[in-house]
Amino acid sequence: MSVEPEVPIVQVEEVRENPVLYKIISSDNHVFTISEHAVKLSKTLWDLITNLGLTAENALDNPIPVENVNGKNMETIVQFCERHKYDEEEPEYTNYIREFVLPEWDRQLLSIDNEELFQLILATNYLDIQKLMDYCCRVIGDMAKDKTPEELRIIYGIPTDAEDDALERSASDSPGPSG
Amino acid sequence: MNIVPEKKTIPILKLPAVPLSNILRNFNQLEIVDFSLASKKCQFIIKSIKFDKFHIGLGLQPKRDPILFYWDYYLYFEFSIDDLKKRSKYMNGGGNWTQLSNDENEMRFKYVTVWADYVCDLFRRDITFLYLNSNESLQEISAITEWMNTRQTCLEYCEFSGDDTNSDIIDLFFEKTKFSIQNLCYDLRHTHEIRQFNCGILDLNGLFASSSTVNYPVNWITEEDIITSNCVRIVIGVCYFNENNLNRVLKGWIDGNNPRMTIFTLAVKRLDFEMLLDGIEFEEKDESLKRTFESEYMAGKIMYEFEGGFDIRQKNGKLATIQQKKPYKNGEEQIFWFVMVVWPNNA
Repeated sequence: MSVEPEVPIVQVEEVRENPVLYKIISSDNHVFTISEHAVKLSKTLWDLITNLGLTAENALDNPIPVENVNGKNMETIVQFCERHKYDEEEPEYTNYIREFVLPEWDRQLLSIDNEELFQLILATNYLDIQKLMDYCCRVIGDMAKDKTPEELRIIYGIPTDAEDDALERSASDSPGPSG
Repeated sequence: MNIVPEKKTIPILKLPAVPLSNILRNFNQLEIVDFSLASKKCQFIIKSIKFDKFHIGLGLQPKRDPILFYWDYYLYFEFSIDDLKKRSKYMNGGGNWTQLSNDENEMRFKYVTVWADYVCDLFRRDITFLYLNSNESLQEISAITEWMNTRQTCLEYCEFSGDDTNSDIIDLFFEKTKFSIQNLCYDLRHTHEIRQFNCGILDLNGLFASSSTVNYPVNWITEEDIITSNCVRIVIGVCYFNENNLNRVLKGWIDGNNPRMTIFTLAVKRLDFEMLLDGIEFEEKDESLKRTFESEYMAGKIMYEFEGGFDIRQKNGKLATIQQKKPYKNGEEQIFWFVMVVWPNNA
C-alpha cells in the first residue's frame, strides 16, 4: 500500500524506548504518524494493525487509510491518544455513577463548535476510543445542566412530538423504493 | 423564544446508540426526567436504556424528599417537592392540579404518586423503599396503600417513622396491604405510650423496631409476634421483653419455630439466665472462647462478637448462641443487648 501525502505529515513526539510509529491517512488524505502506545487506545486501529500484521519494520511503509475520519478530527484524535497513551487503565465505570473529572487539557481540546464535536464523536465511535468517547459525551452531557425540557429540545435539536408525527406521516406518504 | 442560538444545537438523536447512551449516562436523574419530557421519542429512548443497580424510594415523611434514588442502598439523588412542582405542567395532561384538592397534604400525595408512577415507568422498575409517616392521616394511608396495591406486588423496604404514632394507621396499613414486604422498620419517636398495633404475621428478611425515647419502649411487638414470625433478622431496641417472654421464644425456636432466623437481638433489662434458660438444654461456653458472627445485609454487614455465651440447639440440629452484651444505656437502669445468632452450617 503506498499513498503519497499531499499535506505535511503531522509529527508526533515519541519516547526513545518505544520507537514504533504507524502512519494513518485521513479521508481527505492528510497523513499522521502515531506511536504504538497511542494507537492502542483505538480498538479499531489496533485490531486493523494486528490483522494486517504490521510490525516495527514495515509499519511506516504501510499507511492505514481511515476513510470515515477527516484530517481535522484525526488531528484531534492523534493529539488525544498521544496525550493519554501512558494513562493507567481506569476501572470500568459502573453503569450510573460517573465520577471522573474531565481534565482541563481535554476540556480545552474539546472546546470546539458543536458541528465539529458531533463529527468527532462519530469518528471516535468508529475508531472505538473509549476514553475520548467518555470525554466527548461528558462535554455534551454537561450542556443539559439546569436546562428545562424546552431548552434541551433546542440544545440537542430534538423535534417536538408534532414534528416527529409530521415526519412520520411524510415518510409513510412518500412512495417506497418501488413506487 | 430563541433560548439558545441555532449554532449551539447538537443533534444527539442522530448519533448512533452507543454515544447517545453514553451521553445520557452523564445526566443525573432529574436531567434524565427533563430529557424524557422533551418529546415522546426521548421518553422512548430513556425507557430503552438499561440502567441497573439503582433503586427508587418514595418518601412520604415530612422531613424526606419525595422521590429518592439509591445506589447499592446509598441515597445519592433526590427530587424535592419543588422539583416536582416546577415540572407539574408536564404531568396530569398539563391539567390544573389545584382542581384535584384544596388540601395541601392531599395535593402533595397526588404530586408524589403521579411522579412516582412516571419515574418508575421511565426507569422500568418498582419502588424499592417506602418511607411512611407514623402519624399520617387514615385517609392518606388508605390512599397510599391502595395505590401501592395496584402498582406492585412486592416491596423491599417499608419504614414507619415520625415524632408521633397513630396506631390506627398502622393497623389499617397492614389490613389493606396486598403487596409483600421484605424488610420492615419502625423508627418511632412518640412521647407517650402508644396502643399496640397489629402488623399481621411477620414474614420478613429483616424486622427493625426502635423507639428513640427510652421512656416509651417498643411495646408493639410481642413474644407472640416473634414466635409466629418467619423473619431472618430481628432487631428490636429498648423493649419490655423479660426472661419469661424470651424463654418462650427460645423454646419455640428449639421446637422448630422461626425456621429462617439468623439474628434475634433486642435491648432489655439485665436478664437472669437461670430463669431465661429454664427447661432448655444448653452448653455454657468459657469466656476465653471468642466467636464472630457476620451476616451481610442490604448495604452493610451485621457483626457480633461472642466471648463464651450459651449454646442451644434446635431439634433439627441448628446451633445458636445467646448472650447478653454490654450496656446499651447507662442511667438509673442499665439496658443490655440480648443477642441470639444461629450459626450457619450448624457449626
